Amino acid sequence: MDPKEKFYRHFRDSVEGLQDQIGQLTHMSGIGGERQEATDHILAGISKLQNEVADAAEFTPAYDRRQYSEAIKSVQDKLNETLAKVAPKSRFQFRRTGTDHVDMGAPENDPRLNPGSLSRRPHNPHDAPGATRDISGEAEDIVGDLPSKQKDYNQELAKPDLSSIRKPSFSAAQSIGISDQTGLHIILPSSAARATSSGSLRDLKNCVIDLSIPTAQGAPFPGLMLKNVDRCLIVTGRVSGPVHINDVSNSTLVVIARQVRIHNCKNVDIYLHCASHPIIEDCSGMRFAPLPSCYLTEADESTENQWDQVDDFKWLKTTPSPNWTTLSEAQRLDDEVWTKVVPGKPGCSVEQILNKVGIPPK
Amino acid sequence: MLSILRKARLKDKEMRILMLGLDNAGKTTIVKKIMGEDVNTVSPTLGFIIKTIDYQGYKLNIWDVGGQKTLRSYWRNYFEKTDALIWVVDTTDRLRIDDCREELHGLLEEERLAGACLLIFANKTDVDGCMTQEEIVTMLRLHDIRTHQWHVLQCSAMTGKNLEEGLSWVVEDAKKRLFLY
Repeated sequence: MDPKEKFYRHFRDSVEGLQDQIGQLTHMSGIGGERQEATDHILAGISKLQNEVADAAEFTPAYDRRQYSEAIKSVQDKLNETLAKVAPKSRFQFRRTGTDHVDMGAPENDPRLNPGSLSRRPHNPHDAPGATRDISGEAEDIVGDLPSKQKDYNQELAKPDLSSIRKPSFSAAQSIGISDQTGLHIILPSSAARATSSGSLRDLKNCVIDLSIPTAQGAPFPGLMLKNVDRCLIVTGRVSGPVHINDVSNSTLVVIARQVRIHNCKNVDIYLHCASHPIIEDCSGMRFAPLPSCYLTEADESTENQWDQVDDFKWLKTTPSPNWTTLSEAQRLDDEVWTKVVPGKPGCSVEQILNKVGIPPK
Repeated sequence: MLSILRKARLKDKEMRILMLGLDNAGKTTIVKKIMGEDVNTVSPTLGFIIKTIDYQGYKLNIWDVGGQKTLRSYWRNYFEKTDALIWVVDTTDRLRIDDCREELHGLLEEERLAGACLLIFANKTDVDGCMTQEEIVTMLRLHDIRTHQWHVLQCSAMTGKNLEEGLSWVVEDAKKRLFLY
């Protein structure tokens, strides 16, 4: 094909692709970096196209070149227009997409009652009521007489920050709830040890999360729920009761618990200390390994670790289930990864950590 | 005919109790606690466990069937000849209380369970922030139940609270309904 014609088609397709992406921007959430990421992607696409037009200058006639640069300009204008349209909206958004239980008409969600930038609604319905019982007296961000509100640590987490590592205190919370985060490194400091009711981690993507610090010495979580997690490294810390792991894919988990139930998961490596038989249901590509020694505490040593006694409820035959295997010693991550890489260090991105623990690239 | 069979068995002082509920409700832990076994190493039940308990001279055969989703379709295989149904609810699991209600009301429509009384164990009440008795009654819409005698007990499989009381209610209720000569 004539290079001129070939380039014309390539250019046309690229512009169409970019316009589609710009169109989708309006449907994306502004917080959590999702839209920012998409915008960056589009900007990169535009500049790539500009370079290609410059490279193709030797065989494109002057008229075509002008057409091309005009087309690029119109794409840029469209992007700016779209961004201007969606930007002010984010000011009124108290919750990212995937929220199905925020009633904007409810008094606690009324923006007028929230002069500060933090949202104060209870962010997870199942946290209540225990979660909010004695917070009103000490949380400093309570406005007037709204006793049932809770500091929203998730909103705080999602705010852009120079440091790549987030350490939400959760000091005023009785339950840990982290949700709707993308590409963050979150370390739970020991101030969260007051969280004595069950925790939940949901809707997370490309994150590194370490909850082990408050539970290593202090009280373990009574229960924990992981739901809808993709490409994450999660160290859950000690859980005295059951852990539910639902809809997790392409991730690595470190779990210490009395009972472990795993549903609907795919391609997950689990480093486990479990006092009973872990079970899987509707899972595939699961790989199990014993807890790395650096996370082992005296309390755990007294119980027998049954990490490899997995029961697959979808495989009732006596032959080994094809849905799970154990990681051989050579396949397991070195202790050094847990002690040096997972805590993070300046200049080390979340992607680099995920890469080091063997989570496949996007 | 069924009731005659039941009476015959009651003469032998034997009762069949079916223990059901969602996974992680604590069914096996309750049975283990009643039997005085170690409750810390309970694994999710794959299949079912039958335990026989001697209680007030009665032989109670407790059928503890796993509650994982995959196993729920097999529950029906255990309905026959059931004298009492114990439904175990995890009072800390607010997220799945709707599932719990659907499953329970589905069960009660079963003809083969029509003659059984229903005991609801509101389990894990030793945990902070659990649901109250009233919440359980409303969330499970127990007042809508017309077909069965029901009774709710707040219990804890970890501390053993109200477990004996539950068994005694089951036995008393069976005695009342099925005449003993």
